[in-house]
Formats: sequence, structure tokens, C-alpha cells
Amino acid sequence: MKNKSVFYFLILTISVFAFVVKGLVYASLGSFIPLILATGVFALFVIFRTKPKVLSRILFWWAIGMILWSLIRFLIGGINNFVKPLTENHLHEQLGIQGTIISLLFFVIGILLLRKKNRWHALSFYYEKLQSS
Amino acid sequence: MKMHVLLFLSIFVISCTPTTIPRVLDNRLPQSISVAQKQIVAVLSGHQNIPSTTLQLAARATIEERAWSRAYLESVLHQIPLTPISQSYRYRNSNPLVDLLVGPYKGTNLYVVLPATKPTKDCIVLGAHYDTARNCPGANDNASAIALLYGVAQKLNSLQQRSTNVMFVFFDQEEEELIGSKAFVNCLKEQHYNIIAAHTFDQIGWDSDNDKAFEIELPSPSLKKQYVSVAATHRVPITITRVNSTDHHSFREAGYEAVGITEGYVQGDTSPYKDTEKDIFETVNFDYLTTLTQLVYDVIKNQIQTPLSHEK
Repeated sequence: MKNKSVFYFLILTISVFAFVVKGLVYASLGSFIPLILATGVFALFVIFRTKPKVLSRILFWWAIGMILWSLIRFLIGGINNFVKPLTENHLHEQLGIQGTIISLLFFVIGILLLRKKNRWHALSFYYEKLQSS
Repeated sequence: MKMHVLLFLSIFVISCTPTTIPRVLDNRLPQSISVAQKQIVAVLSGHQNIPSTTLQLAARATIEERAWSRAYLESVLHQIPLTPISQSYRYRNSNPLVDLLVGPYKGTNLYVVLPATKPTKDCIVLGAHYDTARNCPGANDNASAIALLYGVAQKLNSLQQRSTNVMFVFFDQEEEELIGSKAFVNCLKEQHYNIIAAHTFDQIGWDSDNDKAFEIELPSPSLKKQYVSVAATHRVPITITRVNSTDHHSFREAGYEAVGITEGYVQGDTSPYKDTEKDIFETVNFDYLTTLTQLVYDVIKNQIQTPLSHEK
């Protein structure tokens, strides 16, 4: 259970920080919406860290967000490769093989974060640690 | 858990595979400018191999195709001889929601400065994009304009006196919302030059009726006067249009005097093969390209002898 919980928090951290890094990159280019969104999610995790039910809800919606994000990328990439090529070469490059691997990675992360059993195991482990310390 | 971590690490490594930077080692262009221009269009449109390689460019759209195009253009600029500078950039998407889904634009502009013969900060920018739409050889759009800039650079380089610096820029990603020229304008603001005017060239290789007519897009009054006057001495018809969809727009938006130069785009004497697989070497009218090279050279020669900033 310990290993599974550590893994759960590891992939959660990867998913949030990937978007924080993306937000920082875009902020340096003058676009602030990705950073606002990523730091907003991060702030929610911090603010509600002592409330298991709320934290579980946030985890649920974050996981749904990950899955939707991946599916939209799969959809655009699929249309580009199999239905009608996009005129935007930029999108074609980003949603090629590497982009599909990244989408797949985040899709799997989303599924793992979403599973109720995983969430409750991880949260129980977290609160046990919190109380014992 | 170890398996999971290994899986994630291997996916991460695959996603970050490094790319090699191509180089063109041996590119000797012919002495004759018009013959050299033909060779430039031939190589850029995949009609000929890139010198010292067995590679033919099918288009100049993917990261690899654009990197090879730049490598070739660097070798062309070394022939003048001028030392090219790469300006790599990242640029946000035009819609912030797209920013959430994908990464920023990444590209590289290439530029050189032909220095004035006496110290000055005044500078004229001449630019053309080198990228193409996907799967398009882009002989006319826009290898023809690249070849024009090469010809003008060679001619200006042989002048004994130049009162103004002349910057030649090859823009990346014009086909994607003018990203390359927008990024270049941002870079230009950080440089010490006083930009007098920017002339951008797009599609300079189609003239089906051989009347040599060309169009200038949204010129400032002083630039319009210069082009109309030189066109009259060459007895070439000129049309002024309000087309705003290419790189000169980025300069005008940033407050610079700018003009776009093209074939008969609005008049209808324009390549029907734009952005298609048929935009090939054989469709380019090289007599027309030679005429416009001389005409543009005369305009710029006049400008660097009587800079526009002094006329204001």
C-alpha cells in the first residue's frame, strides 16, 4: 500500500508540475492563462490538504481534466493524420509521434489518478502520515 | 512500482530525443547572379540536391526541412560573403486556449547585415520567408523571393558607397500566422539600429503575360513614391494594393515604415499553384525574377543614397 501511495503522489506531482512548467514557459512569452490555471490547481491542493473529501473531489476533477486534455489532443492528432491534414504545421509537429506519446502518458496518469481505489488508498496513507507526525 | 517508474522514464527519454544540426559544407554558386538565382530556386524547391548531400527538399515545412533550408541559406550568404546570424525564438499561440493544449511555436530566422561604408545606425530591412506549406516545394512561394534577395545583396555588396546598413532577413513560419516576422520585429526592437523602412517580398516568380507587372502592398507615401518612380524608369506596370496578409504586416504593426512586394496577386497574374505540390521549379519565370531584382536593387540603391529618414 505504501508503494502504491508513493507512486500515486509521484504521478500527481508530475502532472501538476508539468503544467506549472508549461505555465512558466508561456508566461515568459506573454501568455498567462496556463500559469494561472496550473498555479490555481496547485493552490487548491495546498489549501484543502487537510480536508479529505474536498481533496478527493479536486483529485477527481484534475484527473478528468488530464483525460480530457489527452483526448482532445488525440482527436486533433487523429483528424490531422487520418481524416484531413491540418494546414498548421506547428500543430502537426506537436501532435506527431512525440506528442502522441505525451498524450498517452497523461491519459494513463489521468486514469490512474481517477481510480477511486487508488485515490482512497493514497489519501488514507497521506492522512495516517499526517496524524502520526 | 519499479516497472512503472521505468516505463515513465523510458517514455520521457524517447520524448526528448536530440536532433542533429545539418551543415552544407561545399556550396559554390555561379558568378552570374541570374544563374546563381536559378540554382538557389532549384535547391530550395527540391529540383536539385542540396550541395554536398544526396538530399532533396520536398518542402520547407517540417523542423528537419527548415533546418536543412537554413543550412543551405547560410552557405549561400557565405558566398556573398556575409556572416549569417540565427535568431531562434519561441512564440505563443494566437489563442490562449491553444496554449493549454500544445507548446509554443519554435522557429529560427536567419539574417545578415550588409554594413554601410561609414558608421551609421540607419538600416533598411529586406525580408522574405523561407518556409512553405506542408508538402509544397515552394519554388514561387517563396524561393523566388529568396533568390531575389540574394541578387540584390550581391549587387549592393559591390557598391563602393553605402550610406545605410542593409539587413537581409529570411523569416521562418510565415505560413503560420507570420510568426517568424513577428518574432523578428521583437528582436529588432532590442537592437541598436534605426530602422528606416522594411521591404518584404513574397512570390516573385509568376508573370504569365510577360508584362513584368508587379504589386506593392500598403506602401507608406515615401516608399510608394520610390517604387512608382523606379518602375516608371524601367517601364514596368505597378499596382498599389491593400493586401495585408504577409510579413510586412508585422513591421507596420510595430510602427515601422513597410511595404510588401509581389507578383500580380490582386490583378490575377499570380501562380495558381500556391501552397500545392505543383509549385515547382519549372513554373518560375526567371526573366521576371531578373527584372524585379534589378528594379528592387535600383529602389534600394536610391534609398541608401538618399535615406527616407532624411526626407521626412
